[in-house]
Amino acid sequence: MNRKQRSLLNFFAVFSAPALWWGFIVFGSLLVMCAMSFWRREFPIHVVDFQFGNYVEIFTNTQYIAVLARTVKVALMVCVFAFLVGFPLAYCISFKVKSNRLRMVLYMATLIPVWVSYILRAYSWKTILGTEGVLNSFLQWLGLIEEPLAIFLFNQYAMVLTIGYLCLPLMMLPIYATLDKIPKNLIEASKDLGAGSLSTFFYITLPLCIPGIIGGFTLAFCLAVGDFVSPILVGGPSSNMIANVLLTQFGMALNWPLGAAITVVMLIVFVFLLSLSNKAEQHGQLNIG
Amino acid sequence: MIIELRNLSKSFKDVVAVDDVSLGVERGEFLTMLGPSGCGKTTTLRMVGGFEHPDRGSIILDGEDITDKPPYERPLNVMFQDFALFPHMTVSANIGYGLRFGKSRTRNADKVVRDALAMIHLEDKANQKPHQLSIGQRQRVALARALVRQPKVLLLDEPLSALDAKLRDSMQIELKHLQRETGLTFVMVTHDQSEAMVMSDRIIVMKAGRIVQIGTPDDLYDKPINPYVADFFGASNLVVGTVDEPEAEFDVIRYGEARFQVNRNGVQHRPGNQVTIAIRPERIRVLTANMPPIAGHQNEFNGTVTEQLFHGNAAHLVVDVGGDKPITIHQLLHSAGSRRELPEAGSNITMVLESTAIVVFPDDSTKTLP
Repeated sequence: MNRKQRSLLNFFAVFSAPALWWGFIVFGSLLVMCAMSFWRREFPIHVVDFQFGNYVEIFTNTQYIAVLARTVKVALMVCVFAFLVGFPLAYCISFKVKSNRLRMVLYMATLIPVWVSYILRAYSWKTILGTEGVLNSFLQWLGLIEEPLAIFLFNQYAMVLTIGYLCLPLMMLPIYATLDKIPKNLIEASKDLGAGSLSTFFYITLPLCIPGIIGGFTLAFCLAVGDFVSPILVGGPSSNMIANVLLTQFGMALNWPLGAAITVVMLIVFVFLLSLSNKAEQHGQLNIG
Repeated sequence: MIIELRNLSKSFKDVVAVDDVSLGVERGEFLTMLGPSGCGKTTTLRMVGGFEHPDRGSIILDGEDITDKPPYERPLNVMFQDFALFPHMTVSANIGYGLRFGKSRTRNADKVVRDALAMIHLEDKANQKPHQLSIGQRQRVALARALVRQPKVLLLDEPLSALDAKLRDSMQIELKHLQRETGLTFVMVTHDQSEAMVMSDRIIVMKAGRIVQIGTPDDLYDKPINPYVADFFGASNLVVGTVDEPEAEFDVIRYGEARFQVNRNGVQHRPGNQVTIAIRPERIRVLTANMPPIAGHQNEFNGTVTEQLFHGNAAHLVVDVGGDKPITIHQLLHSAGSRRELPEAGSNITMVLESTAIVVFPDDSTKTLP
């Protein structure tokens, strides 16, 4: 046995157990889910089978496709919203705040909300946007409106706002980390070569930040597509997302096979979208320094 | 004068980085600011480049006050320490970057970039990214990128510190030739005294935010104004001697058993005072029987060799002359085996030293001993 073989053997000896364990947890559950999607619903719960009825149901009943499309649409809007708010914030913290201590404080301030319960944070938007809420009271106090308005809550925009807020730290952190890594002398070099602040931003800072932006979009997207709290709390009647449908199928409707099939379709769609972002990220990957 | 700095000062919080610095840079000269880290040289350069704003003072470039102008409005360019090439752009995009903006905006940018690539012999790397280049190639790209804008002055911030020793030597010569050929004014910052001496027309030695001495490399080496400068440039025997009664046209300094007659340089030394003197190790010669006579006034003195150190091209003799510290002598070895002819440890030798080769600092200079 030569050295290479031995080192290979050692490698397997050490890593096979954790690899098995990891594979069992990650792929085991997925395999069960995949298998179940071919089962059949039958009183009292379901029976093992191999048929495509669940998938046919998904693709023929436009309701499911509509929900899936809405989920992707809302998630993308959330990403754009979180980006529009998060990027300038991250940029300011990284580039405009001179004091290291203040920068640290602001950085922590973006993180602190993550420590608070997810549901609580989603719920807080209800108190802001509701008819008895902070926003309405404020507008009334200003005298802009007479009666509280109901338009702020229970629609898709309230949902985008709420999920966008929940996703903000996930959007900001990769962007901040990337911006912070950009050597400051590149910015100086750009200005030295005659570029003003705006040109420097669009030619140097933004392109160098693309990996962070893609990372932020990916993380925010992953969180947004799986959200089922915001649709319930602030979403209104026709804003069900795919996670709500799943909740119904596995819960009240007790149709596990259909739920599993929806999960599989969802998985395929999202893995496809994420592989796109992964490709883009690799393309944008840069050797700085 | 192309650049004039008037009473520049800059502090960072409580630390004074640059303290009332005034200097002029002549058109077409290669000027170097030299000093250890934290001496204010880089801050001065950054103020000229526009990346720091001085607390006080002004910067005049070619007759125009540019103190309050942002970097992108200053007709000068910087070659950054680690080159600061844009990692997401190709080599030609990097070089052409500066041609997109302001007065340097040109229609034939492509041609300018091609010419620049030819100048630095990197035509075949035009479409590669900086990280695919060697360090030396990156440096040439950084140089080309700064030069295509035809700046009035090129500022170089430790341009050679990223290179290995061999490459650095050849780049020193290349940069110097380039500066001569283009006639462009170069202002360089470095902490490497040999680099400064090889490349510069004039050197500014800085310490703690202030200018210690300005002069040509020869001036600084042969006539340092204080022990700090003497110690900074090359090796020096810096010892504290005692002033004796003057003899004829010479002042006399005693160090251990040795008595040195030194030329008067206008400074009055009172007998009995302690003074610091600097003697270059290569200026001392060991007296041997068959040595040809030497012109000029010579000081002869005796000592005991305590050690002989072999450095390949030279041997160093450590000689005790009865003072606090031994004196070091550098002897170039002109032929193989000539080291064996040098006196060995333990032998008593007689040495000669020209009176002009001894630098005597003013009486209070013992306080500024490095």
